[in-house]
Amino acid sequence: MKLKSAAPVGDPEQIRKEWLDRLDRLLTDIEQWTSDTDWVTRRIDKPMEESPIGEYRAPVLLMQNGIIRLMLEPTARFTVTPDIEGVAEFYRMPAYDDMLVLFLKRGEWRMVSKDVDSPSSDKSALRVTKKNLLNVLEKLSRDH
Amino acid sequence: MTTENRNNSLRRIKSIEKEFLAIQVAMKKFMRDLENAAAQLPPLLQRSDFHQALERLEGTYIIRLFAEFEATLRSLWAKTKSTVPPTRSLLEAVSAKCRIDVEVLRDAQAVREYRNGLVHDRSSKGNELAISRARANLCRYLSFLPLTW
Repeated sequence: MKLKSAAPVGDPEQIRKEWLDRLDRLLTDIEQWTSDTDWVTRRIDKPMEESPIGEYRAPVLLMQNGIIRLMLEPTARFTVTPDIEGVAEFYRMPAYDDMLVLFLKRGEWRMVSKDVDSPSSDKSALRVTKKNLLNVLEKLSRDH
Repeated sequence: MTTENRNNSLRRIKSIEKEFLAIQVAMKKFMRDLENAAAQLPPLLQRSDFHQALERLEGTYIIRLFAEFEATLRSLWAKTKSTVPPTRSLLEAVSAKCRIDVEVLRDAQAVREYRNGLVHDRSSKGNELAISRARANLCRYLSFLPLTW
């Protein structure tokens, strides 16, 4: 049995297209923001299936700086929270360690550290901007 | 024969960990609700059944995690071999074939040993392994496998 998430309003094909456009724009932004840093990026894709919008392939961004490898992977277009318009997650690879959750709200991507015991809130979430993302990446490189 | 994909195997491993986290959150909430009389015990089940289930939940999911990992290795092995080696030997043989770091092999063997303790001894006291560590160890090992086979 598939769980029903927040019900989409509108044409499933249109919703899927808009979701993939949003993801493409996010990945393009990150590719551009990191283009003059030591991070190198590469796209792959992953199969996804969500009951309201069916099967589709979504873009995934692989990032590497020296021995640090990250992966930004879309998780879901629909969540139980109606005003969240999509979720993606940053993982440390190859261990698949949780790092950041990115969520799309009112057309804007925000990011928050992942801690299952401390549910993310809007208060602790940072906007996904060049400055904020590069800060996170720089801290990661320093701490490694 | 179908083509297997390393990334899909990694995602399946990660999704099992997420399933564990989801069930753990749900069970903890149910236990709290029971304490606060906001939930009722289903027929035939006692409070102790839920306590035991929660206590053993992580181990149960580590067993599933390792089963998925082992299935991946066996599918890779079956592409070129018709033998069915014991799991310990399978990890060593795939490690040699894929040039896997000795530390990475050791960490994956540690998960196997822990899984064996859970399955055969029904105890893991004194040497707890968190599911996040088990997942990380197994994913690191799988990352050395070819992209497809």
